[in-house]
Amino acid sequence: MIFQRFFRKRINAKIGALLLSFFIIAALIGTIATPYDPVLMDIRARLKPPSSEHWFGTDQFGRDILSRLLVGARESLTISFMSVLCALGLGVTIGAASGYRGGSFDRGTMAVLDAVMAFPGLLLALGIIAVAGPGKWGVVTALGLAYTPGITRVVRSTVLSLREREFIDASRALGNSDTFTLLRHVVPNCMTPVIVMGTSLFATALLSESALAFLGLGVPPPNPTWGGMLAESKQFASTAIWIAIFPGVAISLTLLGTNLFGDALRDHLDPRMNGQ
Amino acid sequence: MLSYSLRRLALALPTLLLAGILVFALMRLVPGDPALMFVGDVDDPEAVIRKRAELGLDRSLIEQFLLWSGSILSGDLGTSVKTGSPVATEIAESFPVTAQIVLIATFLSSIIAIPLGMIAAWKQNSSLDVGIVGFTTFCLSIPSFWMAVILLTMFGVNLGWLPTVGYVSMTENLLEGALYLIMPVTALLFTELATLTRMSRASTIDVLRLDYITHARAKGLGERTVLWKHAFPNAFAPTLTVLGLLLGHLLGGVVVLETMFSLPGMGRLMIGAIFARDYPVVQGVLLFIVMLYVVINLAVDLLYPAFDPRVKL
Amino acid sequence: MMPMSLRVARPDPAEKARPIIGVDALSISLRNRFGETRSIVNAVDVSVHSGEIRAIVGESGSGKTMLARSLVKLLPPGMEITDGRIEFAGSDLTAANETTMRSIRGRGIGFVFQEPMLSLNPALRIGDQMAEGLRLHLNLSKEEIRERSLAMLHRVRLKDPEAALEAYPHEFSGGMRQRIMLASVLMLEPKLLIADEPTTALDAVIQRDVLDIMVELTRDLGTALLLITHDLGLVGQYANTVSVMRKGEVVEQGHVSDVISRPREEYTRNLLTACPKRRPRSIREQSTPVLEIDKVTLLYAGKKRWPFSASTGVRAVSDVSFDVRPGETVSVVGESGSGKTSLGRVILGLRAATEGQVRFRGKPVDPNDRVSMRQMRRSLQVVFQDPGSSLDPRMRVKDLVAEGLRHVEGLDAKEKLARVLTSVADVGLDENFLNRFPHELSGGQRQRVAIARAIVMRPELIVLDEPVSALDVTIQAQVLDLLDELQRRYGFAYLFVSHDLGVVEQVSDRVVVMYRGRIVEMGSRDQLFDHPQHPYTRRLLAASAEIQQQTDGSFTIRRRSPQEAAPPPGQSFYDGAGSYDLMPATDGHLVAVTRNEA
Repeated sequence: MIFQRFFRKRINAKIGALLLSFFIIAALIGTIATPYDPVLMDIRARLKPPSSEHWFGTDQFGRDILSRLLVGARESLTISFMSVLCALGLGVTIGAASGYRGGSFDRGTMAVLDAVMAFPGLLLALGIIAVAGPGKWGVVTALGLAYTPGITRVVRSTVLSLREREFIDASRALGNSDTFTLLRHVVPNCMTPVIVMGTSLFATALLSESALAFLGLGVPPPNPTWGGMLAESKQFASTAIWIAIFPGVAISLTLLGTNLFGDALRDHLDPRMNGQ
Repeated sequence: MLSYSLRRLALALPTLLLAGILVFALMRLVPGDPALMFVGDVDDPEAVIRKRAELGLDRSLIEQFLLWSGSILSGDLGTSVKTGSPVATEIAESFPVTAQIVLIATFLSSIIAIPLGMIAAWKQNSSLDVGIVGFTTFCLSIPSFWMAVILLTMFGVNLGWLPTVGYVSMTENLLEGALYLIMPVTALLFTELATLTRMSRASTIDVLRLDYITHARAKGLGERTVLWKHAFPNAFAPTLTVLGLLLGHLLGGVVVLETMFSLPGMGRLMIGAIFARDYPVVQGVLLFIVMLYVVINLAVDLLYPAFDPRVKL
Repeated sequence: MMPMSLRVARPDPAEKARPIIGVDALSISLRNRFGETRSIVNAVDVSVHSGEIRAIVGESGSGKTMLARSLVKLLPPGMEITDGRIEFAGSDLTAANETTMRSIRGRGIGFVFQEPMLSLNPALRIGDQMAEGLRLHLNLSKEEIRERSLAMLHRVRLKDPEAALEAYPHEFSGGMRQRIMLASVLMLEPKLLIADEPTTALDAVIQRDVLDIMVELTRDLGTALLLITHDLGLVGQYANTVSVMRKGEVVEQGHVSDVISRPREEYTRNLLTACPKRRPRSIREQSTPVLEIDKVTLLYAGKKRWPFSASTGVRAVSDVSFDVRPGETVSVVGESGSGKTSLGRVILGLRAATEGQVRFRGKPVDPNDRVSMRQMRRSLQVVFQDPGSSLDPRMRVKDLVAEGLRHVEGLDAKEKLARVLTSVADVGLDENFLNRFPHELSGGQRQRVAIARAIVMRPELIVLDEPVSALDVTIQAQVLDLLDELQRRYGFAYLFVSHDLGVVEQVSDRVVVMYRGRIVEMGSRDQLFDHPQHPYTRRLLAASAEIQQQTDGSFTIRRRSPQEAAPPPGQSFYDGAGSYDLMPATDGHLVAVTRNEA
């Protein structure tokens, strides 16, 4: 019933959900089976344009682009998802505790977060990768930490406005402890903005993950990632444009799906924005 | 005014200090011995110990931090392991390149995005609004580095209209310099345009719903007056804040584009340093960006009262 | 039986004359995102004649605000006029285009909104905002605009109009802003002024000042007034004619004296009956107090301008003492900023008193002593003002009501459920409500759930913090009756915090009047309402209307006009400066006098 209301008359929600599920299914297929071995080089078949054999053509090493895209989908989606999850976990915990407790604890936390937020997200991620080293977990840690302050601020400001609501006082007046009040009444009511922000962060994370892979600081080659495939395409794009087109389209469509879905979600949960 | 400025300044100092500590800590977390990196692969334990003493690595962490901040405050950001030149010089050389691109892109996108967002908000839920929002969603979904690849392939290689590699400073040759900037600015423009349009739209929608807008209409004022005189000043203040944040972030965030277009900016400096494990440069760039960010936001805060008289001077 | 002398004398609006504005069978409906429509206003006829003050009175959802806005065609998105005519100055406004409407807005029809805090643009100077309308509609020079603005600000009795022109809205209080609004709207001398709940956001005393100015000015300028309100007291005091609206329809309209003294429609009668009135209260015998408030002072730390500078504290409550005995209702009454809510929070142990002590059943209430607080809270419960905010939106009714029982030991799940069922039934809800969420309930039902949550603990004392001020008058009456019935059944003591003198008069045994954190007067309900002593209490009373039902079933509404009182011999009434003492005026009736420092 809730879903019906959400999707009804919302073309962006429908397209967004469709695109996202398409790529999630692609990622699942990539985990089970691919038409060709995504890392197997075949010099005879290099830079082949799309054909019935290789639907999306082959790259400069003769690897099948479709197979690489399917496996890359899994990498990109899981890394983005895990880094958002990591940021959400840290952000909700710190934000809720800080906003609810207030006082010097809150001031201290906010000062540290302000300092972290003074670094551009991608640059901070780069700095962390410089220390932690590239690779899947390096990227997840770097992006997760880079996005934590944003989530924390949103949660904290939600908690601050919730604290003004009388049901928090009501809970305390019933004799509930602070921890109980926080977990039972405060945190669940923060979830709406957190979900909205998490969705838009997923898009940012996907973009940053691709950028890092593009720079060669993500999952190391020969494992395929969308960003890495784009980076490799640079030199060959003028003669074999499909190497640049397909990974780019994959990233764009996933971003489009996330953005459309996220917008619809925000409109639905924050009725202010649709003017009714 | 003076008191307000001083208070803002006082609030910015802890951010700088904490960010400094953060960078310091990050650099101490680097696996391996920094002294070893300077000395290189030479098998000379004596040299390593000498270098350690020279770098102050044998002292306590607090002492190290104090020494470190002292030298940074005196403008010494260390020397690059790779080139041997002072980090400060390298940053000073690369910063103008980055600043040019970011400032041009931000300027262009603000003069388009702010009115566009206001119009979308004014005609909320109309087909025009849906179109504008759809356009921003589309822009947000194209990664700038992908657009860079396509632009390079099309205009650089296939059509040969624009130079693909290298950079000429605009101060040396205005026209030629501008040619090198067209593609990076275009690639950056779209996402920035989208972000700012959305921000401008959202804050205008917030303002247009308020009673004083209805009251302005109830006086008989025309829509143009309502929009520009009553909505704009109030909607612009939050947009200004976002603009400040965006500017600060972009200055460090155009890493990928600089690599793509082989521009000798700060982003490329940083990437090169990461690959070369040239930590003094990484540290220098991070510190510089933070300082820049704090200064820009201080400037925005000081401008703020001009748009919102409720902010106490 | 209307005491006409208390209202501003007006020429009797001649029925034959052409009305200034005539609304004929007007319908408005709301279209949602899915294209479904809902009727908001349905075939309404209303007219306002020259010199008339017409009130449109109704509860929330009656469509009165949308009706008012449709007259200047400034409906929110989604709202549209679907049928009917609006006759103004010889033309039909429903057919008018934007350009015509713009020339009418401001000049022909002025509009004043409810929230003075939100209806002035914070970014523009008062002078600029006032000049805007003049420049648009009249051809005046800069000097003339300035002169007229100053003259008008003078007429709304603003101190220092010169400085006001240069100031920004945030530099003024709510009452002052509403006067500025009035000045800027009436300066254009419109034929009709529409005032949508113009004083609802203001304190009673200020509300009366603003309305007096509004009525005086519209009379002087010959402007007709359409007053949208939910408050029958205001209608009785200020309007000539009234239209009663309910669910988008006008159920009854006519002269105020007719409609109020001899209401023809059931709904109008219900509205009048629902208005709070004094009722007899049984006198209780003296016993040990359940709650003692002993010289309580609460200091809020002010905001620091510099990291290490000393903060300037705000005294929210100073040196307040009184007590509450079992089974009685003590009201704490005051305007915003009087400290009544802060005091309530100290009593509930949500804040620690800076000085002094609150004792509940002889034991000190101390928020830092968690164990004894937890025990105490079983017997000390609370109902907050806004049930929309005091119920966790993510919990079902049964969980909301049961929550407090967590801390009652020795209850198994079955007993808990039984207690919940009893409480829910006690507040007049049935079992169907148990699985609902707060947003599925009406405002009155939510407040019933909040009450059920308090009484499930079988407390001795319930702090009621403005429990009915967010509710419509008919719902308010039901909730007040419910509270009264529960008190008689279970013998709770109530501490009733309110700004509404009418409600306080109905429910209280004793009343404490607070002003700027201090008690200025306290005594039994009858002492205080019949023989108010302190000038502040008298001002407060004079600002509230009294609605009475006569023995023949007719109603009267009148302004209270409390008698002057002299301070106790050798003393002067406390006026906010220095220290004060509470002196007995009569038995059990205390009034604040300035302490003689000798």
